[in-house]
Amino acid sequence: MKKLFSMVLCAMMALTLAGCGGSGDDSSTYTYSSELDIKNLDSADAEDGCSFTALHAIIDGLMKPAKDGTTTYGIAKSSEVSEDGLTHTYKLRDAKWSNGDPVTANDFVYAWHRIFKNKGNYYYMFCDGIANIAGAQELSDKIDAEQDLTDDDLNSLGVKAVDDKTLEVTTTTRVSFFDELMSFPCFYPVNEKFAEKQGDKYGKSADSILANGAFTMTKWEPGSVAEFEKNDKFYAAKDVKVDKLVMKLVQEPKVAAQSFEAGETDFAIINSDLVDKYKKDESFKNISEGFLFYIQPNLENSDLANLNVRKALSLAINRKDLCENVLKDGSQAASGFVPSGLSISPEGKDFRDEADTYTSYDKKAAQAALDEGLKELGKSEITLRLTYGTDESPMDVFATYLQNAFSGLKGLKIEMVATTKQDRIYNKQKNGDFDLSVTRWGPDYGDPTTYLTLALTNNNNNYGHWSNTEFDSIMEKVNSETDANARWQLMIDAEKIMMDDLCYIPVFEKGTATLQNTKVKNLVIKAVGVPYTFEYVSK
Amino acid sequence: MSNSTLKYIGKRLVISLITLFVILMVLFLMVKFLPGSPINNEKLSASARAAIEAQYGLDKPIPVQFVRYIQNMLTGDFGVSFNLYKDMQVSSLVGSAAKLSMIYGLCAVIIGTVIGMFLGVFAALHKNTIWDTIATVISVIGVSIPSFVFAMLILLLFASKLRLLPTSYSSSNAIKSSIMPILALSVGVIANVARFTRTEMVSVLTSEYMTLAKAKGLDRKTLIFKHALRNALIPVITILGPILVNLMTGTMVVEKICSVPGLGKLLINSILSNDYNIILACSFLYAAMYIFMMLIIDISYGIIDPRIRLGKDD
Repeated sequence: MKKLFSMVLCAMMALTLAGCGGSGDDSSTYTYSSELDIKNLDSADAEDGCSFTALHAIIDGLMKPAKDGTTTYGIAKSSEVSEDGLTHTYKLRDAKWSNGDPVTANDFVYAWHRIFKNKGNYYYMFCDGIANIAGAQELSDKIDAEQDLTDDDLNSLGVKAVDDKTLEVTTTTRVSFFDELMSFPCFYPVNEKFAEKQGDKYGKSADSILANGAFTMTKWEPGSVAEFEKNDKFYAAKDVKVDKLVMKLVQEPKVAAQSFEAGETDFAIINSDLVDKYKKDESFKNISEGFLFYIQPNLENSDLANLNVRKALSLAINRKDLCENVLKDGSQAASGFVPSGLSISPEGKDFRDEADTYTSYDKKAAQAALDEGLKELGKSEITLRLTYGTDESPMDVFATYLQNAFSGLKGLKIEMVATTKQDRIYNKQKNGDFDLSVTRWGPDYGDPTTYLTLALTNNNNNYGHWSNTEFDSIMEKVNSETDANARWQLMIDAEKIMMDDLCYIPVFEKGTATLQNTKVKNLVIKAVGVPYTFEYVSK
Repeated sequence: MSNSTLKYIGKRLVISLITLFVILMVLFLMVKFLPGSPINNEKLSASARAAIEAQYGLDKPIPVQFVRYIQNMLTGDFGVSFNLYKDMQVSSLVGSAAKLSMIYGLCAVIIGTVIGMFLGVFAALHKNTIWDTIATVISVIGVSIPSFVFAMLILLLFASKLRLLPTSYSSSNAIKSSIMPILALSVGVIANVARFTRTEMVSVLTSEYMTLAKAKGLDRKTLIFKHALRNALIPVITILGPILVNLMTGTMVVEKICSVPGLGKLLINSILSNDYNIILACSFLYAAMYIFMMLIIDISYGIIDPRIRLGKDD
């Protein structure tokens, strides 16, 4: 009986574990280890970097990241903007889906309508302040008012298929970063016939999505691995150098480093514990993630409404020390609210190089500012709560560092409030139940407004309720200004107003420490939108 | 099987079902009281959040949600994932993860028990010799080192330095990539089983009926395997059940280290992202497995030793 039982078990094991196949360390396969998982491949819903990376491996939008990190044509082969800047006409190239269907202008129209129809995560990207696509704000308002959208409503959206190969998009205002925006996954095309057939299952598995990009997906096991093969139907297939792409999913940084050493992966993200070990290694590289970590002060707290108190807090933080000796992950001190590497001026300069530096470390000046602030408040001591999520690494390390830095000031007491990210945002911040909250923001597109709009009086994420009419009116001008240089200057002015008043206290720009195979060339890494583009990789 | 045994099993089954229902109810409430929400994209507007909540029925009162959940569950529908794997069927996610965890658990228990029993019997037969000491030291080390530390150690040795085995699980190379995690998991089993077997064997070997059997002139093999080991096994089986269940729940860290897409890893990730349906399905499965194991163990006592009566009426 026991013998039989064990034999049955062994047979079961053998059956389930069967299917041995070797995976070689050859130059035709590129392997990328991700700490996170692919959550979703539906461009209407996908919202995280890992999903974007996988999605762009298989799908190209009108525009896409170029080899040098700028934006180039994808499915579009040329574009034209009308003189008033409100009509964008894209001519599409002869691209094909992996089932042989041609990629048509209607695939874009369908995909964009679908986002509103499904009330997906990203309809806000179409609205005023971002893409400014005609009719989008009205549709968004209807969704907000919980009204159902009719086909007529959807057709009012400013996107039209003039013919199979011509797409016309109308905006309500000139959007200087429109082309760059079109490389963002929510603007990707969707094959209508295929998506309707898949229904709810669209984008949920390797065989429920079509490719028009450099690779096709052959396998996707959540929590484990995703595999891709070179797409022969891709319009630039001859330029794709690797035959196979493997994304190892949810790998611990320590394990990823071991995999890298064993030659099983070409790209691994490591954590700060491992940085000292590898930092002299040739394969060690810091990359920017584009996220700004900052402190949100609650301006409704009378102590924090005092500018000198906020100045004291900002001056008390040794940002360089935090980045280099504590985080050790390639993060760098933030000198303003718009991170570096996000956006390039019409003159070709980075925003940060053109704007001022608003942060510095000076403990004496911090104490002086606090003393001044306390005098103005008529208090000898104030207590502030510092709210942070323990589930959003490295917020805990960051918050502890801040606690130490602030506790060095006489007359300031810090109480730590540890909670979860969700609770921090949707309960504490939303209900104003916080004094200082450590938080972060990632860019949606490569323009400074993706950060600057956070300080608008009516912005949903302005939980500290800072309000400045001058700032609001400059931002309105930014929206309508047609001259790119003037617009750029307005944004620099806007940042100065918010930083002089410290409505937010920027601390650091998040980086990632990675190990990268030195033989690999042309992995495109971007801080905005799709983080990694594999199309040009050669090994 | 006698009538009383069947009656006993029936009674236990009914109790088990009630227990499961209560567990599910408590779980459901606990999950709902977790701070935050599964919809945690800070960029969503309040109305967009409300729309998503309505889509998943999260806007209904909790009792309504619970009744609906039970109704769906009885038809095999465990709902969809809210944000971990957006809109994917939980049953298929949990199913494939549980299959892997179960295979790992069973393999670890089988390997661990065989080696552990061997070590235990060996130590008992060579009581108070150097062999006994070596076997005991092995089991003490096995009990003291947590399985994930052991996993890290063998990962470093076999995968990183010697490059004999892959560092992480891969379904296209399942057997080879499963060796390390299963080995790591079985260490604790080996140690526990060896200690128990040794203690039991030592006491059985010195008992009077063994002297009698020896006096009857039975050969050594029959003595050890038929008389001594069989009696010594009962307490070992008692601990096997909890060990198996612990293995299934305790695989979490090993799964994380060896990148195995198992149940433990899924549960941790779902808790971190408040993915209610996955948390519920995983925890419910754990509870069900635990109760089922306990039932199996109770019944198996009677088979191994007929003197243990399950019913009251004899």
